[in-house]
Amino acid sequence: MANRCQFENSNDIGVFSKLTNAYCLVALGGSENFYSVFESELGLSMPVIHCSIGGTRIIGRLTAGNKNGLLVPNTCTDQELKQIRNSLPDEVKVKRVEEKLSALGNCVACNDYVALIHSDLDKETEEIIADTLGVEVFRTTVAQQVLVGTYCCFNNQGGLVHPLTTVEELDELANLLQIPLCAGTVNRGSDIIASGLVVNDIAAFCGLDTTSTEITVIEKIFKLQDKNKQNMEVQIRQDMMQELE
Amino acid sequence: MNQGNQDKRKQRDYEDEDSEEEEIEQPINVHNKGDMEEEINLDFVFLDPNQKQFHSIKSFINGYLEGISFKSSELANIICDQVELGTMVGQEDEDNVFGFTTILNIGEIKSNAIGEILHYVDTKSQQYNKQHQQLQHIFQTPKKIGLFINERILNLAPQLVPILHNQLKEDINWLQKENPSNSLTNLDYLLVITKCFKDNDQQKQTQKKSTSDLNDLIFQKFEDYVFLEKSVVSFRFLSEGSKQTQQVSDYMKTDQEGQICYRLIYLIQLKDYLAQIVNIEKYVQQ
Repeated sequence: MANRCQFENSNDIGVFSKLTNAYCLVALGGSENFYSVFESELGLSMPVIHCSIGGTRIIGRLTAGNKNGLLVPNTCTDQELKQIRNSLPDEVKVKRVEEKLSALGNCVACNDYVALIHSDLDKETEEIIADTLGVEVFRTTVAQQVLVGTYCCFNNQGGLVHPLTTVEELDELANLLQIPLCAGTVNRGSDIIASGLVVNDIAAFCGLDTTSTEITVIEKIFKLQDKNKQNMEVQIRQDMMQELE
Repeated sequence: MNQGNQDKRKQRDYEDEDSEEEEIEQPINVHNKGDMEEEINLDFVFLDPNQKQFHSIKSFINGYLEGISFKSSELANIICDQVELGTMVGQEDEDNVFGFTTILNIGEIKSNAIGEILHYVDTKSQQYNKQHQQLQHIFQTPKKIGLFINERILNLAPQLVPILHNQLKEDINWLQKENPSNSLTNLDYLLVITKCFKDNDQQKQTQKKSTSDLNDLIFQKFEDYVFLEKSVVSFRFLSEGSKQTQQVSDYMKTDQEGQICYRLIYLIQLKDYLAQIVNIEKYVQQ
């Protein structure tokens, strides 16, 4: 199910939170409304953890992670790193990366099997990503943008990319990732996909401005609809076709 | 049908404006290392409200509604939908808006955002306004009051400001000719919510709200000073802002020189507003 929410009147959910199949990180906020939306949807299946990175709240854009591990930038303090390590499940490896491009969330887009990275990321960082996150790593661009982490967002079942991605590029990326991809927008036409949307295999969260068309696209491509709803849709379509005949 | 007529009107207006006002060249001096001044010419265009500008308008409205309401999307939507009255200034072929002016009829538009704004004005008026009775009396006929929203980026060239206001005047005139039954043609008053600043060393005197210290106030938008002179009701109070933004925008409250931020609310009669636009032009020419 796709849910709409806001972080302190900002629709940029993906900036203030990080969602994977094993855990969820949220930034410290003025009110706990944001936190409670996540908890009510995910609370039983995974820990929802408050944290900060380098004293900032933009944790979604600074970190990259999946169910196997989490990478934090060198701006993360020892205390913060300790706190994150203690709160996350033991299976999740947490590693601090010494990298010039410290906004890892903007440079890396990944699911549990594959990662796309910024073209200028260090070789060393690439190896750390492959090792810690347990993924196959590809250096690529999305719609001629090097910040792959910003302009695309995917889970294990599907992905959403920048609206100006060409069909050829979509095919190429879908081949690399082995999942269906679709070009679209969030938050009422914003092309910065990853800042407006966080997604894992069971839920997605997007900004309050996201239109119902965008939500439909998101639910379809990330395969978040219930089986019941899907069957109902098929049934309605069949009935309509019968009427038209 | 109406929409079609309006589109034609805007097309015609552009042809008229092309010759004089639509594009303003702003020579701007830039110092580079070689100590030579380079002039850069910028062209600005004035546009009707449009859904494509939604995101820019929303950022302005976020600042406008700070401490008043969280429903900026709703208000931004209303502004973008009101094609018949309102002007945006931006650049050719870009959806980014640098500033805009518009008037919304408080009585006609059913919106939670406007409801919250009115509630805020009423509450603050009860606390800080000496002329509260007068304000309440005026508010008894909400259909005669227009919410005047005038926002722009802080360093926008002042030459553009009189044009923004003049466009509003022309829009109202056009509406009166083409569609006199439109609620925006029968407005008596404009409600303005804006910000102003005062130097910190005069803090001891801030409790007095006398208009004699009008000259001590520093206005974010200079035309507020011009309109304030003709306002029927006005009051100001310390701007609280929302807790979260306080940390970020503390520079607004007390910058290096120590300025305090005030929220200023005033009501001005529409005819006085229209008359004062000429005086703004005098300021700009100085």
